[in-house]
Amino acid sequence: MGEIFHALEVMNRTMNLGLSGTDMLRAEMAFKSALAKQGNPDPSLKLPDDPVTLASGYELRATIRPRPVKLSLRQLSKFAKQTAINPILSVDSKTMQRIDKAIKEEGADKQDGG
Amino acid sequence: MAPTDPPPFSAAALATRLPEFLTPPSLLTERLQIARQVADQSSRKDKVVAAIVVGSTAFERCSATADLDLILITPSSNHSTSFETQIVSNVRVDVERITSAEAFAKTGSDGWIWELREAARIGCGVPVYDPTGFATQLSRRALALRPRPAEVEATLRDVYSVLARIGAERNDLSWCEDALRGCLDNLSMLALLAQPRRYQKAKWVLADLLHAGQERLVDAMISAYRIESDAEASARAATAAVRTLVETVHQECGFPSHEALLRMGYAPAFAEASYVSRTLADAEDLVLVGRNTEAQYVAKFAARLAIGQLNSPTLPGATMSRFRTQGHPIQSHYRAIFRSGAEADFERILPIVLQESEERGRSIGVP
Repeated sequence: MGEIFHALEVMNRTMNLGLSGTDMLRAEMAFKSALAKQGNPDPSLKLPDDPVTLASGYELRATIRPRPVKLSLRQLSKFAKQTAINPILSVDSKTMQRIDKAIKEEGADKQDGG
Repeated sequence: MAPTDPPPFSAAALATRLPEFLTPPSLLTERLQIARQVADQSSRKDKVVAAIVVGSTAFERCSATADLDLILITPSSNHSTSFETQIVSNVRVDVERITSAEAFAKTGSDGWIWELREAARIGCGVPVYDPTGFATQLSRRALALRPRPAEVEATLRDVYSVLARIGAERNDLSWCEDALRGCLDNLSMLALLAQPRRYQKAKWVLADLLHAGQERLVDAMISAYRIESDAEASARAATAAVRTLVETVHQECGFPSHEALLRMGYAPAFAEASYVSRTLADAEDLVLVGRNTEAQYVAKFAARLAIGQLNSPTLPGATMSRFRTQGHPIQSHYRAIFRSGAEADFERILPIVLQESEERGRSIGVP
């Protein structure tokens, strides 16, 4: 569910919405709740109405990947050449440390509600 | 090894040896004479449009004891396909009768491996009776055929996908080497399908590629297949190791034994296993006539086919996953067949694979 929080955070910043951390957590919860309702259309399941209880049994997994556009044979040839001749490099440890630090800070921000 | 060093045994060396293996002209003349005799006799009994010698005699690859394959083309109103065997001057002559409509259809349809091979069989044949020029017309039609572009593109897409994965899997050299061999197998098939002889079978791949001027591709294959010597001992060792692997795979998969499959001849119930065994038998035949480099390639190709059987959808899942385990003796045995003292020469092989792929792409109009 972290992805949704981050998405909201990006939206908050770029659109200048002025939402607090609590507002964003509320939006995240509402989103999960709406998904839970949508995912359980069968009324006989008698889902709870309370959005917090409803959302607690759900998590959202998201991935970001390139759209599945079929490459032309020429593009595929170029891609194969680049990849085969220059094997994919691993991320260096310095970059990994910076990424870890950023994640940690964002996690702390989220917990502080801001 | 430095990227500019030649590989231990080269395509050029193999090319210089190939003429030694062609059928001697006197034997060829003798066999064509026998074919003419059979065609003349047949044309006196029935109406015959044309008679064409096909198979190993037509490709000048026959031994004195090989069967002689003759196609008799009859008018379309006559009976359809039939086979008969005659012994003439101690040579077994297999006569296949097809109608002119069938011959026309075989040499004119849009094609892929099977259709092109069938067309090439007639197109590369030697006419021994052709009063109306029909056989020559068939030959022209067969030569004009091109591999189906959609199939060429699909094969190239597979090759490129594997090449891209090779870049990401460089830490698994064994996988990368095998993947490169797969790319080369596909590219050699595409290269041969564009040639008049098309793709016949593994036994003739190296010779046909050299015949088509594909020396660079053959060099890459010799290197990727880890063929390091043209010595008979190397060929015998390779075929023996592959035979053990093939027998083990057949046994573990519950197929008939290698020898039993060979005795069965055409075995549609075990089509894949039968093909593996016949390929290995071809490798063993090549050793007997001193074609040691080709024998090693064909034997190792049979090993790749045998391991490929473990991915067959007809095999129970439990059996498949058991064999796929890296530590399984079959996997170790397979890897040992391709083991060599030197590291894989990716710097030499990869650019060749990429260039060949681009050339095949250009053949279907990719700029």
